[in-house]
Amino acid sequence: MRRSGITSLLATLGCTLALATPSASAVEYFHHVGIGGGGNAFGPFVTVRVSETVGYGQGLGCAGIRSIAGVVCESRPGEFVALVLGGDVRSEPYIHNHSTFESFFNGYYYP
Amino acid sequence: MATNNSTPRPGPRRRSLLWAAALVAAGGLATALARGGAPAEATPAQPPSYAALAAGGEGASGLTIVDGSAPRATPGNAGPTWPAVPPEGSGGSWPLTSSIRRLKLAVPGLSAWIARSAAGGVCVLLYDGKPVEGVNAVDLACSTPAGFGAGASLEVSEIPGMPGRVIEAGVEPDGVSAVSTPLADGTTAVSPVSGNAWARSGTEPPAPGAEPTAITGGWR
Repeated sequence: MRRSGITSLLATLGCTLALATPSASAVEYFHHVGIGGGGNAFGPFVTVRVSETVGYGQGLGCAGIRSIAGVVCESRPGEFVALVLGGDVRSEPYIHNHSTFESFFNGYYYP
Repeated sequence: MATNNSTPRPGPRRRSLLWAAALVAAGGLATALARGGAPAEATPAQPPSYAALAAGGEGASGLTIVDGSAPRATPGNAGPTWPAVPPEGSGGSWPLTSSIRRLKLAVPGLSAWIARSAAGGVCVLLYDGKPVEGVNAVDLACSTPAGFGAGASLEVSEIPGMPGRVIEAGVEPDGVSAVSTPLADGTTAVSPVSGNAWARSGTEPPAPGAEPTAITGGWR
């Protein structure tokens, strides 16, 4: 009886901890980084599931994860672009400047 | 020409703050009205600008919605997935999961969906059908709230396993019949819009800095 009670308690505690575990938070790996037209800015080698790029001004930004998927670019300045994987990978999130001129971007990844 | 505007587009955390500010402002307005303030003139509800968003038939079919609280999915070939809950800190630019609707594209092998963003924009989600190392990737682009009526589109390139391939896809509001894209070789690609959706898959990239342009009415 006591053993089953402890088991139940542990199971309840485990479920509680699992539900209370916050989802992954955004990690800003670049802030206002300047990238020349057509250039890339690679982030750290990390466990990543989502790569997101936010741009400034009229630059066309892209979000990529090296060697894992294609790079997704906004077609119009002001759009928000992200690359969302179905599983975690170890790779480098990166920003690509799809403009012909230097532009500035923030890069985020979600582990 | 460098564009270094002092006002950045809202990032994830900043978007969260903007949402909070909007909620506070809305609460204040409601309080003022409850205290006897004159109500604003009623504005007629605008009809949805995207018929595909209103369609309920297929929903998000083809896109498996996964529970964020469940253990992380392991890479596999089970098709594209989408998190039921946006990642923490992603703000309001992410699609509202309940609004995701399947689109029908004219380009074989591609799957796409339309959605509203929590912030009020319109989004397009694209899956190219080719997992890399067992991992499926979904590409996402969302307009700003102000750009809701102008559609959303994205361009995907440098796709592993598809050297030289460039994919464009987007959503346009009702009434748009086609989208033209200036290409790098000087020609123009015209992609028909059907059910608010358009797509192009080719080897010629868009001209640098070029934006797709919506065409209404006849275009052939």
